[in-house]
Formats: sequence, C-alpha cells, structure tokens
Amino acid sequence: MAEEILRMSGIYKSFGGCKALTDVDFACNRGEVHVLAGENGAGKSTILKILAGLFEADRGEICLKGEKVKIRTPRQSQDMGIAMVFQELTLVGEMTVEENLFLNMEPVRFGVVDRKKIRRQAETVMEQYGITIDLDAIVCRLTVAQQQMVEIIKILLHDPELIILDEPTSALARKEVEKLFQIVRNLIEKGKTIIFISHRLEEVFEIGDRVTVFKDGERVDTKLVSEIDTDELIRMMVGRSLQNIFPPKNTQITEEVLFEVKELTGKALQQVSFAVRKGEILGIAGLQGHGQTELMNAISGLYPLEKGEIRMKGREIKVKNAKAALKNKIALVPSDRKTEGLMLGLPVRDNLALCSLGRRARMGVISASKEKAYIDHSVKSLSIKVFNVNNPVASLSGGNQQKVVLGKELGIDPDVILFHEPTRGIDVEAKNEFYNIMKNLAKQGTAVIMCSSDMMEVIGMSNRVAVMYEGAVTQILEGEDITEENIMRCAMGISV
Amino acid sequence: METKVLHIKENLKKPEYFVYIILAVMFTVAVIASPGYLQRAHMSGLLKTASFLGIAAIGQTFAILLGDIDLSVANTITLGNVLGAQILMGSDANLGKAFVIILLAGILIGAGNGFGIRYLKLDPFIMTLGMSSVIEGVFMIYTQGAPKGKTSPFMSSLCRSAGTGVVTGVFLIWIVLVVIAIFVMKKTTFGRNVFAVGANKTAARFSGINTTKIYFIVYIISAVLAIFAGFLLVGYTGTSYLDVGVDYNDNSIAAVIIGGTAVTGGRGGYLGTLAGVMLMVMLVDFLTIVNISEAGRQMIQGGIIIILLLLYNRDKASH
Repeated sequence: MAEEILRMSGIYKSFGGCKALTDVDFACNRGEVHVLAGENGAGKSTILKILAGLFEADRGEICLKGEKVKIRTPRQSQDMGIAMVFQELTLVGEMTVEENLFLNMEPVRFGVVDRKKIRRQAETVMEQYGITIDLDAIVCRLTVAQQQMVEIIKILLHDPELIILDEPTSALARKEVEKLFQIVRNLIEKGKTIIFISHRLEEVFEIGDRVTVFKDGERVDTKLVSEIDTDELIRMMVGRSLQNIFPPKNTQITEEVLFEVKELTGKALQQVSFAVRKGEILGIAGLQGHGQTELMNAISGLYPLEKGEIRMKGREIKVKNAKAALKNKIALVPSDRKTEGLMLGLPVRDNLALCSLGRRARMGVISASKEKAYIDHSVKSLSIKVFNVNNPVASLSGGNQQKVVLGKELGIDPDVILFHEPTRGIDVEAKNEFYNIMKNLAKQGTAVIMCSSDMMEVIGMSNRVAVMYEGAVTQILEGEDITEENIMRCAMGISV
Repeated sequence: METKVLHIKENLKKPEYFVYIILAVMFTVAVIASPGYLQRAHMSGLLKTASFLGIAAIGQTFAILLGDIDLSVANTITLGNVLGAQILMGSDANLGKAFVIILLAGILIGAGNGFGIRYLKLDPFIMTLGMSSVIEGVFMIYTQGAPKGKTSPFMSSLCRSAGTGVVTGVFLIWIVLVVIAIFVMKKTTFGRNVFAVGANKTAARFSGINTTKIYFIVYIISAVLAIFAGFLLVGYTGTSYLDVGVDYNDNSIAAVIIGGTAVTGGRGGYLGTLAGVMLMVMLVDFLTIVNISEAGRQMIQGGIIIILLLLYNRDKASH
C-alpha cells in the first residue's frame, strides 16, 4: 500500500455565487504521477490553486502526510513542500535565467548578492534532474519550453516534495514534451510526487500512474491508468443532461450556402474549411487553445491568413483588416467584452453606434436624429436595460453589456455573425435571451457561427458542430451525432 | 422639471463643467481684488494671450483624448514663429508663401510623430520628445542662433483690437477654431473614433476603426495648430524669439487636464479645455497684478493644478 502524501476532503469553493468546486475529495500517493483530466472550467486548476495557497477553500480540509494543515498563502504552501508551475509563466523577461531563479530570495553575503552561491545551487539542481539551460541567457529570448524549464528549476531550488504542473505541455512541441516527461521521470525517481493537468489524452497514458477526472466542479472518479482505456476515460469526462434553457432548433434549413471558408491556413490554423447554410447555426467546439480564437479573428480580419478563401453567397471576398470585414458585413461578438468588445468608460450610446457610424453620417458629420432613432431601436429590440443611454456602459450588468456588444455589431446589418463565447459571465436569464436572439438571426437568414467552450451550449444550440484540434477542423458533426462524447473525442484528436 | 435640475446637478459634478465654476470664482476674486481689471485694454490683452494658448491646446486635447501626449508643441510653436518672421520679412506680399510653408512644416511634423508612434512603435512620450529636439535643431541651424525677420502689417493688425477695443483678430480666429474643435469632437465620426481609440484601443480595432489613421490625423492636427499659433505670435512679438514657445508644453497640458480631460484617454473634450485655458491665463495674469514673484507664481500655479485634480479624483471615487 502506497503512502498517502496528500488528502483533500470536502473541498468547496465558489466565486461570487458561482460554484467552482462542490465537496471534492482528492488524494495523492507519494511517488506517483497523478493526472487531472476534464473539460475547461471543470475545477482542476481551482483545486490545485487552493493547494498552492492562491485561493482559500470556503470549506473542507487538507491533510499533508497525515497531518491536518491550513494553507492560506503561497508562502505557507511553499514551506510545506508544495510547488506549482503555472500555465502562464511568471518570469521577468528582461532578466537573465540566474536572476530570475533567485528573484526576491537572493542569498546575501556581507550585504551583497552572493552570485557564486546562486550558481552553485542552480547547477546542482540542473545536474541532479538532467536539465540543461544557459544560466546567463536573457529569459525573453528563450523558447517557451526553455522558459518552462527555468520555472521548474526555480521551484526545485526549494526542494519540494509535491510538484504541481498546470498544463505544462499545452504550448510545447512533441519533442519538447518528451524532454519534459524525461524530467518528470527523473523527479519521480528522486522520490518526488507530481500532479499533472493535461488536456491531451495520450499523455495521460504515457506519463500517468493514476488519473482523476473532474466535471463541473466535482470529482467523477480516480482510476489506475493501467486499468482503463481511452473510451472509458472519455465517458468519465462527459455525461450531463441538457438544461432546458435552449430554444428548439430551427428545422427548416435549406441547402443554400450563405457563407463558406476554404482551407484557411495561418500560423495556428490548418486548412480549415466549412460552410454555413441558410437557417442553421454552426457551432465551433474544441478544448482551449486549438485555434478557435484564431479562426474567429481570421474571419473578422483580425488575424493574418497565409492561405485560404472566404466566400459570401458564392462570391469570394477579401478581409485584410477588421474594417474590410465589417464592410463585407461580417460581424464579430468577441470573447472578452471588457477588452475587445466595449469602451467601458464611454456612454452606451457611443458604444452602440460605433461600428456603423458611417451609415448615419454625411461627410463625416453624424446626423443626431438618425442616431437617436438607431439607438432607440437597438435598446428596444434587444431589450437592453439602461436608465440613460448617456451613462457609461460600465454601469450595466454583464448581460446588458453583452447586448450592447451585440447591438454595436448588428448596426452594420451583418450577413454573417460570429459569436465567440457569447454567454460567458452572464446570468441564466440573459443567456436565454441571447439564445433566442441567435436563433432568430439564423431564421431571418443571417449566417450564425457560434464558438464556445461551454459544450452544453454548443450541443444545445448548433445544427452542426465543427470540432477543432490543433488548428484543424477534425470533424463536422450533425444531428444525432452531436453528443458530448463525440465532441470530446474529436477535440482530443480521436476520430468518432 | 425636477429631473432636469437633477440632471444639471449631475453634470456640474463632471470636471469639464465644474471647471467653469472655478473659473467664475477666480474671475470674481480678480475683479474685486484688482481695480481696473475690467478695463478694455486689460481684457483684450488677456483674451489675446488666451488665444495663442487656446489654439495650441486644441491639438493637445486631441492627443490626450487618445491617451497620449504631445511634447513637441512648444518647439513647434517656436518654429512657426521663427519661420513666419523670416519669410514675412515685414511684408504682406509674403503672407501666402509663409502660410503654405508653415502648413507644410506642420503636416510634416505631425506625420513624423504619427509614423514614429504607429510604425516604429515608439512611446508617444518619447517620440514627441525626440521630435521636439529635432525641431529645435532645425530652427537653430536655420537661424544660426540669431533669428531674423519681422512681422508684416497684416499680422500685426491681427493682434490689435479694433472697434469695441476688446476683440482682436487672433481672438476671432480662436473662437472660430473653438467652434470647429467642439463640433468635430462631438458631432463627427472622426471625433467619436478618437474617443473610442482613447477609451480602448483593442476594442476600437475590433470595431473596425483604422487606428493608425486616427493617430496620424490627431498628431497632424496638433502640429499644424501649434505651428499656426507660433505664426500668429509673430504679430504679437514683432520679431521672432527662440524661446517664444517654451512654456507652451506645460501650459497646454495643464489647461487640458484642468479642463477635465482624463490623461488615460477617452474622456473629456475641448469645452473643458476652453475653461482650463482661461483659468491658466487669468491665474498668471492675476498673480502678476498682485505682484507675486515669478517663483511664487510657479508654486501657486502648480499647487492649484494639484488641488483641482484632487477634486476631480474625489468625484470619481464617489461614483
């Protein structure tokens, strides 16, 4: 029987009424590689951040080596021998590797930084675990993989027992992953324990001893990797009931193709092709970072394409920038309304009017009466709850802000509208309104494309679903085939 | 009716309106404290001084609305002054030539700033500061350190008050520009786009605004108006001076900020700057009248700017 190094029980955490973890139990044995798997937002990162002292759990207890502990700060976590390497790297780009390693904990001798000691320590660690890196290199000139190595050396200097790697492979090439796994094996050999978040199924089987699957803030199960196969793992990750907040799908879909892209290729996109037919909503699904954002932006003229065609009702169009996209009546409701969608400090009116200013202006002078009519119409037709359109848009609720983003885009009378994470951070009622708006747009003959990381939303809304994996559309699912299991398989690069 | 009153009350809390209350108070104090304040000659001089700063502050308002700053205003004014005097050489016959050359120089400076900021990705602060040095070098070489030239009769007449004794030509020019500036900021697509870019550059780009174009136009407006202000100053100074523009960076920025335009961009406008300009000019004038030394004047001026900004911030915190 392996020794249990960590046990977390009954962990509960919510963020402002939004449940992130509900009474999760999780345990980890000494000397194992324990993989956490599950969809985006399933709670994997949250539970590990609690362990690292970044969040504090609302309820629940943590036992480390059989002893009950309280972890309130990252420092405490570090002192208990826990170390976490984050998805977003935390290095100072302008400094050397060595300087980064000892940032804020430089060993001091006679009041000056003891560089010799720093070097000695770093070199010892590198030798011990088989890592090679130039300590004098400037960090921002290193590759992402090398930077990650620096992060790993940095935490190893504290000689932790339990090491958490949050999606370390997401930005690495296959060869670099090999290297990382070798280091992981070296760490295990020296008696460390590793918790590893991964989105790639094959990695679970390659490096993991045990796997724990999370779903919607709950732990589904923990299994020995040797006892399961891919199918079973996927089944563990899916299996939810469809909530009743989606309007019935349009059934009258003609064969007429409104919008089509052919072999779109760019830095993060590989020959993406699909078509949207009149009346339908096309969903785009996939795990985070597989080219969905780039696809949305490329169609909207915000991401450069190397090759490919975009066709509107059979006619080829060029979208070399956002302005050209809008001119061709392609609208985008971007994923982050606060940074990409809205000018939060400006009035609701100015935001709503922005994309279509030219339509109500003559020689650059805006017609006040036309604008008033347009604003009134937008506020009414989208039922935006606003006391005064001259108030800054920041004063509205999330759902109403999102409606302003939509209204701004609808101002150009789009023929194609792209929704990117349309309902992120808005309440159920507003979500429902949004779904109805989307459906009506499709019904009225606008080509609607919806890209979402919320799988239930994709399933509940789309007539067809294009699933992306590593920058390519692996499969387009239709009708009965649109299931969680199928989407998950395609999103992990396994054919249905 | 009641909501209307409430509306006015709300608006008065905004910096760009609040500054008018300060201005009124300042004016009252000045009138009471110094007899002869309302004399025509004095008022005329005050408005004339305000006109030069006011014209330069239009461009600065645009730059700050973008969330930037234009530090080349001061030397651009000097360049306008030096070029103007030297081309005019005391004759109205050279007016057209002077006007064209000055306009071209302004466009060149503004486009240079726009190019550096957008294509070379330089920080506006650095770019306009660098441009400022370049301009200084240019007028140093051009004049060999000793500016020549002289105002023409027409330019001088713009600075003299006619008829009522208060209104001067430069003041009229300023007023026309004030109306245009406020109109452009409030009523045109370009004005809206400036606010949008200043409020959120990324979202502006996502909304299909050609941000590069906006930057170029704003910096060209700023440079052209500054060099034009320097040109008008020829009529005031008679000949040209190499330090004629020196205070205009500080004063134009101060006028814009006192006028309630946010340094972070996207909020404010020329209506506030207008009051800011008057406040700055009246303050200097008043402190001179009551015989406070240059050093004391600087301190009081700085203190008042800080106090005003504190008042604006407190207002923001309560929202």
